[in-house]
Amino acid sequence: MTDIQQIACFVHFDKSLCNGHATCIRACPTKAIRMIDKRTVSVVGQCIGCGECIRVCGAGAVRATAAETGSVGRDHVAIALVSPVLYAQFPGVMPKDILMGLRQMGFRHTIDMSYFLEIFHYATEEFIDRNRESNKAPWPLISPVCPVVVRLIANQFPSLLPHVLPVLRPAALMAREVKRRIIPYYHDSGDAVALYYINPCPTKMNPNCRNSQKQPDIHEVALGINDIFPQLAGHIEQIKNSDAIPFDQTRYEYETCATGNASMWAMSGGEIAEMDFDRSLAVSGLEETITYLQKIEMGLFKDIEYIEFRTCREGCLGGVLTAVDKYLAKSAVQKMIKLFGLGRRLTRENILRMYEKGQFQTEKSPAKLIDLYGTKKAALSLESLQEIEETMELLRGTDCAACGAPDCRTFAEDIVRGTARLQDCLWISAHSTIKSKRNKREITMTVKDLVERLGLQVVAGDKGLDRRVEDGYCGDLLSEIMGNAPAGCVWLTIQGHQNIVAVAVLRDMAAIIVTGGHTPDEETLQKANQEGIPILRGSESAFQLAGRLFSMGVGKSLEE
Amino acid sequence: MTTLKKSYHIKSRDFIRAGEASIQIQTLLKSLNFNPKLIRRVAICGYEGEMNVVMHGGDGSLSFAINADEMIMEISDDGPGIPDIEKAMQSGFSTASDEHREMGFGAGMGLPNMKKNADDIIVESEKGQGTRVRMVFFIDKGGGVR
Amino acid sequence: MKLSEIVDALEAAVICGNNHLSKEITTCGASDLMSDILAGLSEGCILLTGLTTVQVVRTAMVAGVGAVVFVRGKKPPQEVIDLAREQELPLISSPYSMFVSCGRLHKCNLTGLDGRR
Repeated sequence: MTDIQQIACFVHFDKSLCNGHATCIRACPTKAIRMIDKRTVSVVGQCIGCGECIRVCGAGAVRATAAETGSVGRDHVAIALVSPVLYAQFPGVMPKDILMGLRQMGFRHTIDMSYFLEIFHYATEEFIDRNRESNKAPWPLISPVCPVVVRLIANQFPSLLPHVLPVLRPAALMAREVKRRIIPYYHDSGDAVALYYINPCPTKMNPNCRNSQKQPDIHEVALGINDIFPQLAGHIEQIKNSDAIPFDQTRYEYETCATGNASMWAMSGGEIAEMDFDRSLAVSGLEETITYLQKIEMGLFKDIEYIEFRTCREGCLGGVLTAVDKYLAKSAVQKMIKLFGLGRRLTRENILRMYEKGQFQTEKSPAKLIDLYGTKKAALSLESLQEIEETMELLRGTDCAACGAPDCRTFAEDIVRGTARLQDCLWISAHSTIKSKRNKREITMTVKDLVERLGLQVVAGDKGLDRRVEDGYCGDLLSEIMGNAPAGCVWLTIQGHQNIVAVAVLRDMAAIIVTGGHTPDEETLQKANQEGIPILRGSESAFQLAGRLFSMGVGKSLEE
Repeated sequence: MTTLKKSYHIKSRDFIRAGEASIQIQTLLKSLNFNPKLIRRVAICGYEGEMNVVMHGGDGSLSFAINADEMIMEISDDGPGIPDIEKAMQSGFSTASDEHREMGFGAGMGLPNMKKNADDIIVESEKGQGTRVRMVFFIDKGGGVR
Repeated sequence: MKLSEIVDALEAAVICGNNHLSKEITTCGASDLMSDILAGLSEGCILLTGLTTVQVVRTAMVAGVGAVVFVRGKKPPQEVIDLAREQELPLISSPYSMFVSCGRLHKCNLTGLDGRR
């Protein structure tokens, strides 16, 4: 198996575990994955880090590109940025104990997101309030919290980027705060620092990606919750069972103060539940998100103010790197809400002051997002679309993905764009190995002989003129030709577009004769030259040429 | 000049799949890098037209032909037909049933909305004879490209 | 040659039009694409085709085709047969491929639609 470059930053394919089912290929929302040689899978398009491929692979061959957890905090100061989903993984355990468990694992600081979630709430309410007057940003506004959604929009629905709320998402606020306040303290004393993102999904994997960090002196690591779960669970057991309160030093308020609001964020609907507006929606799941985005693009849902999207069903607690079943986690969250209540602790006035100063503006403009995640494929022309439609008629249309592309339409597009060949289709290749069973007379005639005896014009593939002619075939319905034409035949047709070359190669024909004075397309001639298949032209009709060929002995069976 | 033609079947009362054809057309036009405003107008007309067919009974079809200059969309059905076309073109006039209103439709915006968004529209219908709506969209000189 | 002789030469089965078997045919066209038929002079010809849709009958009527042969043993759906019967257009089906059918009819001295061989 060959080594294929991975363009993706977010996922990794293990060739030794892959069983070639192509489930990941079909699940990818940006159709970015392809398979070659029936076993080598790689990302060739734009990966948005949704983790569907990880989710659906039955062989466990896909995983997030993540770091090792062994050496946390050994030779550096480790700071953990904790997603509230972590609290939902330990039903019945208080968040402060979970954070303590992390500190015992070696993290010097454990940053809880609650504080930043509240800031986000206020900033969002303020923005929407002002937008009701100005209507500057178009309705409905879309939550920026799930990075996969933002990337999905940049890639497939770029016209919707103005709908994305231009407020810094809580995780980004949290990271910024830590970089501003905590890290300088350590840099002053010469300590090395590493930021660990503890995430339920692969969206911040491989920090060596081109689109992250401007500060190379801060080492950033992404960990999946499932990576640290076993170790953390062990520490938490100890904490639960110990009588003494272990020595535990914390410095900042946001290291210990998880709230009910924070845990609610782990669920779909949690973001909008506590916010101050009526006309809002919460949608979860990848397919559902895409359907809604398509409808918003069409102009529907203008009467909704804010939509919370999560590409994982049930929200972040359904993330592909969680350790606990999403419904168990959901029930844990609901209990926590009852326990903690939903009050806010920060005051609006303080946040408003910072809002006015532009503290909460996003750093990534729509243009930047399109640059990072927009589709890199060239737009299609009417002609290519037409070609795609024609190519699709040759295909079986069952989206089996055996060719390595997710569905027949995408495969047809790959062929038109030049990254795949018709022969890659397993069904078409299988058909072409069916041999015809007629007893034929032995004739030793080459294409060159035909050219001379019938006075035909050679318009392409002259390096194939010595090919042996073993039979004759007439027809213009490509699907039929593909199923029936005998190997070594000369094919009489009036069709002139480039698919005829693919069909001729498939059926291992001797030559194509374009009859009735028709002229093949330029691309057809080029392709024929490439493949070495002769294309001949004659002004006579198919009847005439077939008749004369037949009288020369071509296609006659022993009985005739 | 290359003309791309496609046709979609619309099944009466199939509310689950209603709008699928318009979404497919929207995706197709996006792949051609057409002006998003134009795409939205086309999608709205397609969607409203599709919904009308689904709501009022009788199967139908949506077909379009597109070349470098213009796009022509035709939505036809063998439903009950429109007895008074002029009245139907008035904003606010609605024939949606209570069932439809429950589902969020029937604001009486269908035909008037289509008229507003298409560059040209012809509606042919007679009570009991089905309906045919033909719309034309002009593509900018820049080929509709942003 | 007579239509009945063509039926023999192609070892064909008559689908409909038994009462027209004495029709005289002198020209032959072979095509799967109907626009091609309309482009040529098809009045009174025998048309060999692999297409079995109702368009074949309509095109044949417009072009004045004498009879239609479905090659490769194909048989059209009932609605096509009904239309052909109604229009008095003979339909026959030959087990031979289009290529071989052309060869056999060519041997019998039929010419192409333009009168050439």
